[in-house]
Amino acid sequence: MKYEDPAPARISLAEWDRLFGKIPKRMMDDFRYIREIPKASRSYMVRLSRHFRTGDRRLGSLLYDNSLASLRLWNFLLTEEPRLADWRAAGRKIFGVMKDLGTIPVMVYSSRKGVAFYPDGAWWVPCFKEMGDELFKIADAEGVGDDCCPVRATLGAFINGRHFPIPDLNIAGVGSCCNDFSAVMQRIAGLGHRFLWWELPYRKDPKRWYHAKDFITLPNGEKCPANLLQFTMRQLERVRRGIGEETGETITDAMLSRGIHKANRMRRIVARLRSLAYGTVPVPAAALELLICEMIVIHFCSDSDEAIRVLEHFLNTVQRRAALKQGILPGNPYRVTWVNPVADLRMMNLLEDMGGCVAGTEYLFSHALELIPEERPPIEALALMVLSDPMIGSSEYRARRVLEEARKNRAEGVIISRIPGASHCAFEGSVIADIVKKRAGLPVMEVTVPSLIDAGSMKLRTQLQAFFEMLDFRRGKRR
Amino acid sequence: MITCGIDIGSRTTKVVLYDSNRAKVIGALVADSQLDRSDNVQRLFDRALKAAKFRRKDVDRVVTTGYGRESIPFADQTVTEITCHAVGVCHLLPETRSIIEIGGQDSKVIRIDGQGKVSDFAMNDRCAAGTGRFLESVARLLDVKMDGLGGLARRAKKAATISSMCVVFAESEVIGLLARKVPRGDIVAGIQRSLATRVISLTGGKLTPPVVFTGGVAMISGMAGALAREAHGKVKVVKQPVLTGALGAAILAARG
Repeated sequence: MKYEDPAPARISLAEWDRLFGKIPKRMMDDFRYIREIPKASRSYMVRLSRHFRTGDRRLGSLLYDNSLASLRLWNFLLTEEPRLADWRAAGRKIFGVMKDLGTIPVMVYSSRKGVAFYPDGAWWVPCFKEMGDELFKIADAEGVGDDCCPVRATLGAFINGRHFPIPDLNIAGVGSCCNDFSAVMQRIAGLGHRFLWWELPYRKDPKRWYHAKDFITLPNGEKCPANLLQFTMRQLERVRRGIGEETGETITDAMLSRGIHKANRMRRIVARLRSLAYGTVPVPAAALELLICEMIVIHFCSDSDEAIRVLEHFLNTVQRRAALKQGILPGNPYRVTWVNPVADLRMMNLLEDMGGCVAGTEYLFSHALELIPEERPPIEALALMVLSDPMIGSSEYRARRVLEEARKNRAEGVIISRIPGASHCAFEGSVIADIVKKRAGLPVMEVTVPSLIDAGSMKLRTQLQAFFEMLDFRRGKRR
Repeated sequence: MITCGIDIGSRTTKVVLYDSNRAKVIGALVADSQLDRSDNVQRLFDRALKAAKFRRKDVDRVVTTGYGRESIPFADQTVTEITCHAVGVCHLLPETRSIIEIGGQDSKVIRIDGQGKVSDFAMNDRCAAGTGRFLESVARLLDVKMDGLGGLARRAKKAATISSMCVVFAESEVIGLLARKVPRGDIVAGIQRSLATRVISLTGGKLTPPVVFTGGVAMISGMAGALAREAHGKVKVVKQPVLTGALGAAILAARG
């Protein structure tokens, strides 16, 4: 049973349908989720157009990597809803995780009786459904209108109950959290859903804000007062107890250590993927699939074991391409470090359509891409990761992360995407832009990317084309 | 070498024929943009050629720019209006370091390096409050043509305060001002100030002189003054501002 990927290319949904028929069925049958419970385990490989027909209309506008590993990645992503339902039917407790990105799921998956997902991932539903889901309308009717972040779609999803199983318990970070997100979580709690709140402290610059002498260095290189670590550890102990009470087990240090080890395995795979995809010429993987891979690191797509297999499969494909010097994009694309995730996935295609490629990212959860220190006691290690979160520190710190990414991947420019109504810090874009321009002399552009870019795509095309014209001139100067 | 630059904007289409050997514009034309862009542009191109006594085969290259740039099948290349305005303005005023361009549906601030090339730009990317469309809606409410706005603004004694940052709400404010018998000139001056504030905010407070104002809105008197007041500096209006995008496209066509 053998199947060889065609030469790398980005293809449409219709082209994927034609290619699908050539893949041996038995090979695809082996791609299954929930393998540890045979009666709940299912093969998840279908034609991507099936997801389109069942309502994910945006898939019809996207261009996809044409490898089998990419098809597997997409199908794994798009089957999260039934997978969660299957977990519940198999007796697992479902935990909704909000605000914290990447740490609490490690704790939940350390239990053998819990599954975590991010209900606020519903902010992508209006894009996938091309606004046909009415989640925004439901939120509007609740008085949460479009002056609020698109995360308000989550409120709609909790009300209509059509997009994910209602979690047995929601674990939500508060404190260092933007107002819109906080308001949406409180409205959901107001509907009667169960919440365990824990506090994410703000990581202030120790020199300017604290008189304490006892500082620690975090995995991201930043410093924070030791008492902030103690505070966060106490918060995570509460979370540990909450998970245990819900699943009816004691979450031991040994269980957490195993969970951390597994999370690190995934993070190593994604680190390798990022290094190849963002740093190699010709570009061996497209921005869209890499965005999904990065996202899987924070939520495991509701099956941590299968997530590792999916990512390993994609990494093998990208490694093979890199070894053969096969690129998925033509020519010599303009290398851009991309800041913030986009509300409309089509935007990542558009960047490449216009002649660009992603050379480094800062999607707001860079801490979840770093290894959790396994030599430390597990709660302390997890607390250190929480404190490394780019969203709980200064914009200046994020700017430094962006610079690091840009330098490492030889980016020629930086694009900061904004979502109308959404920002955990209203002025962050300009702070990052100023610092990047000043310290690296790189051109920076801010673009607004709504949940559907179609109506404004000409403006976005103009912005991207003009940016690349500017980069082209800089290339000319260097030659 | 004879080249042509065509700027297909949301309101008007501009055609410039350029003789690169003499570095001279040899024909220019401005007309309303139409929905059937391609046919309309073809007709305008033919008209411009006829007026300049040239034939299609005499034109070596055509570069299109503006929002309709990708819909013209006979274009040899498309370039954004940001680059084209920069090239056009710097051809006319080589010392330029900042360009403010306000068109029908968007506005841009473009920074120019010492070699006449774009080094940075910002563009209003969401609403119409910083664009010519804002002025159009006000002209409609005041029952005056666009080219009459400048005359009204010159008669202003005290610019009315327009507090809204949104065209739709600003329209409501204008209706309220009219109901309170605020002179129309004061309203126009207030609207110009409001538009200028929006555009200058794109600069992030950094506008390197000399600053040049171009685009269709630059032809409305009072606008350059409003921009200068908001920018706390001099703002010069380029000659024939509506044509600089097409001129830049024609020059880029000659560069190949």
